[in-house]
Amino acid sequence: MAGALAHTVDQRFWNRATQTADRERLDALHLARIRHLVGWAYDNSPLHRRIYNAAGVKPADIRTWDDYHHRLPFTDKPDYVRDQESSESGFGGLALGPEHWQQYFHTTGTTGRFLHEAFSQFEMHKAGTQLCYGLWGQGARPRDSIYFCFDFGMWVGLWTYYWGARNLGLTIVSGGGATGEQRVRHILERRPAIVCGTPTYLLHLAEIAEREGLDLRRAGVRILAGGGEAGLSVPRIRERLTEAWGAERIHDAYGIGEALFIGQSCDVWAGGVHAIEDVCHSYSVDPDSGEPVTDAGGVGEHVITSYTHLVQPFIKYRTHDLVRIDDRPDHGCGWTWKHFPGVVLGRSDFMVTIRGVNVYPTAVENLISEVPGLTHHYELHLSRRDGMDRMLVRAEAAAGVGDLSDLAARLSAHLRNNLGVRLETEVVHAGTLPRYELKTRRIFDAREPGARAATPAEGR
Amino acid sequence: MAGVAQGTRTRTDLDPLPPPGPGTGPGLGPGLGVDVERQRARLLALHAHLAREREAALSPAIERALETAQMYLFLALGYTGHTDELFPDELQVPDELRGAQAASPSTDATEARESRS
Repeated sequence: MAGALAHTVDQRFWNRATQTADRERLDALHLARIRHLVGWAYDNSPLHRRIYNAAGVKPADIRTWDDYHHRLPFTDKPDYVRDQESSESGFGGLALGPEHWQQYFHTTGTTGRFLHEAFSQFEMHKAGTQLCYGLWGQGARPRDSIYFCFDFGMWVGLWTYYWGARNLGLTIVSGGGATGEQRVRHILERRPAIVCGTPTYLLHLAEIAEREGLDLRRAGVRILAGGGEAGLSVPRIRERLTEAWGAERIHDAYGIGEALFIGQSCDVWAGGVHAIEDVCHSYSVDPDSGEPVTDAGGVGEHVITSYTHLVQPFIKYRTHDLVRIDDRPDHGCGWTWKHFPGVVLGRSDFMVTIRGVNVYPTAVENLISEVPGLTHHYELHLSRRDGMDRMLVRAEAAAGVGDLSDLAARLSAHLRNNLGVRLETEVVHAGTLPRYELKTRRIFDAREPGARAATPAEGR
Repeated sequence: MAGVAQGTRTRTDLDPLPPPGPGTGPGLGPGLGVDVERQRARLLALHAHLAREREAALSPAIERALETAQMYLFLALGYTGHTDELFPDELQVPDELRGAQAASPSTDATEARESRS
């Protein structure tokens, strides 16, 4: 494929025309697509028509960014859940019926309620393109091979990686149905250019290899790619993966179940991911007021409009991810698309108040990996005693660490210094905590449902 | 056949698509550049050509292969900043079905919506 391109084509980019377009042109494209999409949803999705009618808004009212920000109502996951529970189809926000569907998925159900999702064939093709920008930038090329460390199930994230590999022209090697040890041996035998997995699972495979006396660095893997949880943009995790695998590149992908992997690493790592602006519009708002965050470096709730998911449109959709958006990044990669330093910084709908201090579990997760001597394996246990929320941070030591109590004290100090509150900490021996193949379950909330101010919704 | 399965498709009512004019795209004239705009115009013409071939398909296999080709072609259109349609079915919805779905018979999606404000 790449060999057929003219010599004048800049092969650093998957699609240079849009990836390097100036902000004004990109915003003009976004506004045109959003206006089109609002009309499409109004015409075809009863949920959107109801929401817009209730707000007294017609598609023709949305002409400017000010209209989008201040006149068009937000949508949120509960809108779709209520719609799916009351509709005969069992799906929320439908704009295209079953005759258009190619595949069914559901979200991971962190809230206890699955959001049912249907995608058309075109949408799956397009979902696959979302991965191509980043993987191409990392140096992946047609006929490179990619190894998937998964059994494919209902979670859409893996499938979009698979479709991304197809769109890019990669040779696919499936690790489905294999044990961790078998996967390590597959990788050493097949020598894929890319291995795809969650950061936790990639670290787990490195542990298995070490235990079995196998050197993963001999597999020649150039790129480790994944997403689904924090880690691939955390410096210490990246260092550990690079060292254990001997990989040249670490590729992070940030996604939400409703709009798929909408954020991708570029080839010049700057601590985060870029929005893939060909497939969605991103901005952030104050979680309380809904006003756009305008100050540079300000943290806000990520709000997206997807141009990929049309069977169920997601327009001005609150992700509840807290992000910092740099809308004019300049770290040398050439991409002009918005950049999210630190990727997801927290959840606007999942905050625990510990002795008067608001603590976002995601912030705690990001801090754990900064403590030398700890692995990326940890759990957060929430409870309530005497009317007060408590958080126990249980983390796992690296192999060979002897004094666990000293490590627990260092973890506690690091958390207190950064969060302003002391959390309970416990460090357990290496290999104690469970390993998960997919999105790892790390947060255990033992509080009574009525005692929870908010619940964790879909994250990465 | 895919046309039946997709519900709103037609292979008999397709007119050649008009060439993109200054009113198409994001309203920035050449938008992403003259070369990109020219490629967008060629892709639209190719899309219309594929649609006509689908009309004349001699087997379900050919029809389905051409439908898949149109999907990939539409991805290319998206890379050129095409905003008049967001997915292939929008290019293919026949007028009578479009009229049943929307309040306006306009074939320009944005104009149609503006007319029912």
